[in-house]
Amino acid sequence: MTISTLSTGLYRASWALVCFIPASFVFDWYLAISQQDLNEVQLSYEVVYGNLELWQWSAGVGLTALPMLALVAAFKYLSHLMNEFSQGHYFSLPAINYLHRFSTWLLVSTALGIVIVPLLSVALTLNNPVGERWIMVSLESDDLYAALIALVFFVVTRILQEGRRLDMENAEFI
Amino acid sequence: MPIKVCLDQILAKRNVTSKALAEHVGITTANMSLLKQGKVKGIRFATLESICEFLECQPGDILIYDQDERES
Repeated sequence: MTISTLSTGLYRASWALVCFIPASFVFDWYLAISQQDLNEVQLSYEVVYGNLELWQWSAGVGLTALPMLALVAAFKYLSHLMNEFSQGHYFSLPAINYLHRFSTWLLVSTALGIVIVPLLSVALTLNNPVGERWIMVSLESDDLYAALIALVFFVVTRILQEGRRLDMENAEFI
Repeated sequence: MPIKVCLDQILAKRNVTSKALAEHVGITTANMSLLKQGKVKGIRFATLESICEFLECQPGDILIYDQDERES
């Protein structure tokens, strides 16, 4: 399989994810709100749903939207990167910039995913009876893997920058 | 740079055009022009070999080292 074919496939897959992730997010929150069940959005707090106010639902949607939007941004830049690769522009300045932005947004998404956990737990359980309010801190292996992958992409960005320097130097040789 | 490219003189002596040489070597006339002016960072052995073959000369006929240029 050539780089061009693979890049074109990944370009389409990235765009599909850019569309699918927000759609899935909206659908999951629609189910969570309509069924009064936070398990639909992978939040397992013991919430007294009768006490939940509109601002708490809004905070839940808003906070969980942040890492989702960062991930969508990452995939958007990944699709641009794959588009560059499919056209054979491996060491172009836009390709390097897209890879840098992809790794940055992936890291931001991971960091936000960790940061919002305590904020979400406080926001959603604030109206619970005294003694049943939560403040949750969570760091899962998936978060660490995602952070590691983002850091690896930062290194790949540096390698691409070096590749571009060599490519430009090579172009000055006749 | 103290390394000078003397292609112009060789081409004149052999009565060969830059275009013909560029076509034989397989580079663009724009790159050939840059090479003649010494405005390139380097020259590949394959390019040098092709030029020497076409012009029936030695690498030393094309490239010279100018000591004065270095000192200035």
